Amino acid sequence: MNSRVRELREKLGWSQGELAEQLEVSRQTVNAIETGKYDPSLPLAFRIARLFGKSIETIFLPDHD
Amino acid sequence: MTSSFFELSPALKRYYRRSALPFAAWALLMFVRQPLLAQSDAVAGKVALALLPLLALGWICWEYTRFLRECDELERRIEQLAMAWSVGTSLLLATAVLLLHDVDAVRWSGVEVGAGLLVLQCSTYMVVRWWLHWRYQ
Repeated sequence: MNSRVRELREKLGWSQGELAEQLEVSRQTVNAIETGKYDPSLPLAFRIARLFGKSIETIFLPDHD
Repeated sequence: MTSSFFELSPALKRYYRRSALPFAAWALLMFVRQPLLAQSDAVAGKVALALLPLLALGWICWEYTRFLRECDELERRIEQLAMAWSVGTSLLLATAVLLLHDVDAVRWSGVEVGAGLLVLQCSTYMVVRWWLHWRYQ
């Protein structure tokens, strides 16, 4: 799955650590989501979407769209 | 993989801090167990002393499950996969030893098998955990 998490985070000028703190996850988790190595659970995806003020489907995109 | 204590997740830091005491208790109880057993004559006393380290082991397990509840989803996934692999390999080895024991192919004592299983379980857990941390880095 592709995600726009890095793009949105950088737009807000946040570091991975700052985003991790707001989401209450480790920096490793944020990095793994940004690099596409880990797909977040639905509750975490909702938290990310809420934090960026966007819908899940505009942040997380299927590999072959 | 994280390279220093300060880069560890908050849940893992808490777990390391909280588990130091039960691990120390485990080591101490294992150390004092034999001399105390030698002094005890009653069977009930021997049984209680022999099983005493289990209290510390239970405490360690409780701290570990507490850590699993507190860590984030990726960390939990890594821990659960590492545990699944280590338990799976130990089960395979234990079954292999039992089957070989049945045909008298091996003559290992319970202590030898137990020690071997412990080493295998811990090393598998560490290797799988390290590999998964590296993969998700």
